[in-house]
Amino acid sequence: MTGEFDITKVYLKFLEDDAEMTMPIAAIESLVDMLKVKQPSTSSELINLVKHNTDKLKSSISNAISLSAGCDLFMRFVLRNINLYSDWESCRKNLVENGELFVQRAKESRSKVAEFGVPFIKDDDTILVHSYSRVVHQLLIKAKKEKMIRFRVIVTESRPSEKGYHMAQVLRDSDIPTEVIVDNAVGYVIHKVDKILVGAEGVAESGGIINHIGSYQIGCLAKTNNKPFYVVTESHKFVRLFPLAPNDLPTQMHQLLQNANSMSFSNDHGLLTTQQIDFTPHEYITALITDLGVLTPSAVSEELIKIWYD
Amino acid sequence: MAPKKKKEIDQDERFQAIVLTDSFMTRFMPLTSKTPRCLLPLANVPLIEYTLEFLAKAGVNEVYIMCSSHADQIQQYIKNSKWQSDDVDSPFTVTTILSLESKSVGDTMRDLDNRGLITGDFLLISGDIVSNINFEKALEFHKFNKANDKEHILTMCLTNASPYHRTRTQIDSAVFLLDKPTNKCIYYQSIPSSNLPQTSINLDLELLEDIDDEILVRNDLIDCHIDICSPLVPQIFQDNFDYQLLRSDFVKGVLTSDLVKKTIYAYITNEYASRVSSFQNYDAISQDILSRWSYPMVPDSNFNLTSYSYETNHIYKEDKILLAQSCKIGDCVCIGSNSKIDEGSSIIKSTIGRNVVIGKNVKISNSYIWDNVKIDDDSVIENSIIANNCQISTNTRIYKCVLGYDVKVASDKTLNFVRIIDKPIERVNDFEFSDDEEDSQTQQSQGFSIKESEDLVGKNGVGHVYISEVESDSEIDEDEKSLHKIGHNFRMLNLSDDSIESVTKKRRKKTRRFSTNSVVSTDFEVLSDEDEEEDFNKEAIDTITRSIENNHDLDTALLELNTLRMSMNVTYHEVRLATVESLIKRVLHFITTKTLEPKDALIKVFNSWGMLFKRQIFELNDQIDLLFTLQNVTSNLDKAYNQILLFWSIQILYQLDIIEEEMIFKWWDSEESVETDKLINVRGLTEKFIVWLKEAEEESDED
Amino acid sequence: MVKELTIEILALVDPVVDKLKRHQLSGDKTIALEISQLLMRVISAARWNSPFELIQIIRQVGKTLNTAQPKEIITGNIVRRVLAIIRDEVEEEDQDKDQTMMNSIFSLLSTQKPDKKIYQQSKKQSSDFRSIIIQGIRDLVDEITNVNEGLENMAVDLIHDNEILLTPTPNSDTVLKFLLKARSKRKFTVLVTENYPNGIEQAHKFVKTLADHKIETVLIPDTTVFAVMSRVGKVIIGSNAVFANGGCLSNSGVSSVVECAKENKTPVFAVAGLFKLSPLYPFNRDDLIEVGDSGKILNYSDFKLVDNVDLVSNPLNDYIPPEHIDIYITNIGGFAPSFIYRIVLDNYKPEDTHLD
Repeated sequence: MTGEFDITKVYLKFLEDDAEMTMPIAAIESLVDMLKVKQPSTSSELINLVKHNTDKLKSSISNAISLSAGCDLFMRFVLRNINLYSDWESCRKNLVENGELFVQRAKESRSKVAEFGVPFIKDDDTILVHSYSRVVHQLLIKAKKEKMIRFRVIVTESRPSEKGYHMAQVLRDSDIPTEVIVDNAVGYVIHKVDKILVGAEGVAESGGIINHIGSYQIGCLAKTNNKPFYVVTESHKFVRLFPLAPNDLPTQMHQLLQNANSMSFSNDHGLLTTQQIDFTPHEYITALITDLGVLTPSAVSEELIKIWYD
Repeated sequence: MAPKKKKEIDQDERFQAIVLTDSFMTRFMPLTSKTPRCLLPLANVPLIEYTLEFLAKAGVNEVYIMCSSHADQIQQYIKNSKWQSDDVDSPFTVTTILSLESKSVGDTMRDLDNRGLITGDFLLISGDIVSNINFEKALEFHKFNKANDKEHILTMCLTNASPYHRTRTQIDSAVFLLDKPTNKCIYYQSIPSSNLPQTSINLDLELLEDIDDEILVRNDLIDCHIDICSPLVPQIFQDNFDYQLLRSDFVKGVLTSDLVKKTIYAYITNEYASRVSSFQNYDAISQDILSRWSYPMVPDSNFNLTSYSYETNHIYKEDKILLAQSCKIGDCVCIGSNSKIDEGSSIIKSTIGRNVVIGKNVKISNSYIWDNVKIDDDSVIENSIIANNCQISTNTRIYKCVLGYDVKVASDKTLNFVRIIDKPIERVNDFEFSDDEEDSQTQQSQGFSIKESEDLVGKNGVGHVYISEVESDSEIDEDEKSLHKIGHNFRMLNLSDDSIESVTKKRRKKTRRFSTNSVVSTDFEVLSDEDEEEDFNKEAIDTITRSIENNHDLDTALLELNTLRMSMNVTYHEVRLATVESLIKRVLHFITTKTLEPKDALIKVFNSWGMLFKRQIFELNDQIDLLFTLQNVTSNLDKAYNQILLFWSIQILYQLDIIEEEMIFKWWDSEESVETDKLINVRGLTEKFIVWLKEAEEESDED
Repeated sequence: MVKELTIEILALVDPVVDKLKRHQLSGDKTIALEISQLLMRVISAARWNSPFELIQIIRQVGKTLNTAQPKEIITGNIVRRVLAIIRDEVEEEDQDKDQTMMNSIFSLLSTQKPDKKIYQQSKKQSSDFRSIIIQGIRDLVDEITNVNEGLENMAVDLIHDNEILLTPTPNSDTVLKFLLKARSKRKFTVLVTENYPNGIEQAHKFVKTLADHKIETVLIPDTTVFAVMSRVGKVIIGSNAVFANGGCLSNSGVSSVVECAKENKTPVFAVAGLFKLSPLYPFNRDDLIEVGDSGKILNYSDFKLVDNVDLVSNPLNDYIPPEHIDIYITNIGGFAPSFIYRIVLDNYKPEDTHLD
């Protein structure tokens, strides 16, 4: 192979090809692909390669939290296996051969999340959902299709990505009564909402979450109104970050949106600056519904400790 | 009579319970035409389960279930239930006992005594109880009193209520006179609902002679017939053949009798106990269960292999229920599995069985929908019971109705205040036995029992009005009406109660088959084959002849006759036949010896001994049976005087109020009475009497 | 892998199922002991070839018990504790430590299949195994019976002289023992709520016992809690079950008491035996709270009201959210509610959280 291996391109291609694929999985897949191409011959070469490509990927993608969770996880896994068994060769082989398997497992873990999460949804509930999340979507579909539970969903528009419309569309396609509200109307509807479900880009060590912008304010409203605020997420999105404030997040603050085609700001006059993600501290979160079970925010660090410090 | 087995009462012995599954009433017609009362679903669980669950909790070791009507169904049910003895699960042994000949609680008790099953104090309970009484306390009370009072034979468990309480039946309501410090029952007086408002009871002052302390007169107790009895109780029934009812005969009898000298105590508690004894009770108790007064006997205890889960506001749901987004489930609703409720429908204070399909915009309130019912769009159902497999088409309105099994109602119909059955019941046997029941208020006139079904349920419908034959005067008096308002909507449903005899009769033929096949467990059924009937006939005739010759009093003769009947286990028909034959024999004796003219002889004999029939006739069709018997017997006599004998015997029986004129007409018009020439011949003279009767009736009608 | 239970085992389980359904077992400790005894009998009676079969049997038993009385958390706890005992034993035999990793985040990437080695235990081994497990359950029974001892030892440290305490759960034996123990060294006042309607008799008995032990005791109506709270130094509550998130189930009415304590910044201590900790998550109020006899609230004989009132509801329990509890005092020490998940992890295996 002559052409330079471009991890970023591979990564973006993965995301494009499979709409179901999440960023951490895409990152892991592209790293596996990289190993396939590069064929490292020593363990240190392997480690260096992974490190190099991870950095490259992180720096080239603006919204890197989620993918960095995948990269870190992969890195840790490689390191741990090398250290523990000093059998990096078979490990590499396994990784390369089982590339498909990871995607499969990721999907399985999503359905596991849904399974753990279904008991939260009760007859005649009104559920507030923020933006689009594959796991939340799958959870709601499961509740509707398999458990035949009656519930209504209110979806926030979630500007600037406006992914809420997509969420509403897919839910309505499954016969779930859904309505979309503007982000500013959350306070208006919160009193009639029974619970709030959100996805996450990444889960910080404290148990706080990094998610599409607007999650934080919903969390605050939920807390003041005594509504349970649940985060639905796969455990491979747990990241070793400990942000204290939103600006601790490793994203460029003045990042304008890349996919401007979905935007229609007519009168921004270049004044509008916006973020894509925010950080919701753990005290606003009632529980995390993950493939490891239902966790309290404090249990997140436990899981991270399990793989990082032993 | 079988010798009584007097066993020593051992306190450590296994505690027994007798479950009476038959109430000998037809308050639940037409539903009980296909299912015995104790298997009717209450909050989607067969009634008897509540009783058995209560017994299991009470720590009973042996349960005997006495069945008479629909006995096969009950046996089958128990066999397949979790209570069956060989199942390791069961906390007690269950035995079903067929007592097909029993026509009253008294008969059942006598039957019980004959079988000699009772070994010690036992619990007597009917198969339709819902209760959470802490039975241990009641038993303690019983034992305590027993230790102090040697004559103590019965403890009644009563619960506090108020006179017009919804679960207090009008039918069974009664006044209790209690000795205040000990709760010893001094007097019992039932209050027949037809006499409402009754403001006084008559009391024999002698009863109060021994009382030094205060007495309580209570008309606010729910009596649901949970009794702890000593083994003497069945024996007392045995000794007093005329006792039919547990309360108004037995309790009252024991308390007022100078001979028996036994005492009865009342255990009064604030816990929940009630008995499903009429439609309005069915409604009230269903609501009690749903709103958890009967806790822990609530649907989500799932004691009968159900899978209910509780939700706020007393909503109970089994799994696999399909609810449309916009349907509204109100308070106190119980829904069985696989049921479907479509858009816009609302349900409140109701139970929905399994596999029920409810269409769009249906409104159901205060109703009980059983399994596999289909209700189409826009229908309204209020205060009704819809039995299994009914189909109700679009835009139908059903208020205060009872729909029997498999009824179909076409669209756009309105039903009000009726009981509907899929096929008309054979009328022949369906007559009344108990006389203190409440009358119905269906405004249909008599003899109009099969209304045009098309009018009622529409072109494609299946259903007929069920009218109980007993509703003699269908006018409701004002007092009753006001009571209904005080009470509950369902009171309006409380149509008449008549005896279950119809069903028992039909079964009678089967009895023999049962016993000879000996498939049926545990029955001690005496084979009632032909020999025995003949024996009985001979002996009975002898008995009566002897009584007449020796001029015994009527009661002695009756007692002997009854003893004979019990020991031979024959029906009342045989008794009547023997009585007729012996009386006629006596008449013939006078005629052949030429001491008296046929007419005078008959008048003499029947006037003095005709009252024997009074105690042999319990319901209307017995009267007809007696007429046929008379006709048959007289038709075989000398043509010279047989017409006279029939005519006069009927007239005397009529005067003695043993036979009612309507029954005479019925007999007269029936085909069997003109079957043979002999029979026609013997009718000759009687015709005049019939004509006279009819005229008299018309006259009185004109008044 | 759902295997039907054999008749012999059903014969053991069914009577307990019936008792549970009929609410004939009362008191958390009684239930816990009854279930442990049952499992001991089941293990003695059961036949198995590999420990995994035994685990399957126990899980099945657990499922049956849970369906019998889904609101009884303790039954599930005991079954899961026993399962943990078995699994610990299996792991000890099987040195492959990596198994624990299977449930962490790594499960995504791990390449070796979680192949359970089918080991056939020899007869000797399996009878040894059986006795080890039974011994484990015996220890568990000991732990449950002696639960109060561990708790009592902390009493003196937590209660100060001349302090005013309030307890809204007079039906808790643990709270009673706790206070009696503290009395040996300290002098204090206890306010006891009446607990109308479900616990009123127990409240009276509780007050009597405290008074007999020369503890200054005041019985107060449930409604006066707010009025007295400003003078109260500590609120001590008993609990029926403690969930992984740090919330707990207690008597109805306790929820408002702790709310009131929070308002007054009064510390709330919850006492609970270790066996009350559950790995479950309290999803929904309806699933947890048993609704009892309506007749206790409105006497059934009061016909006019019974007939006309729309709804009478008598919940027996309250769910107390973790933020309203300051500390849990268990027989192995005191923990913050947010730490409960950790204790749960120590005592239960995550794979047993869901029995079906």
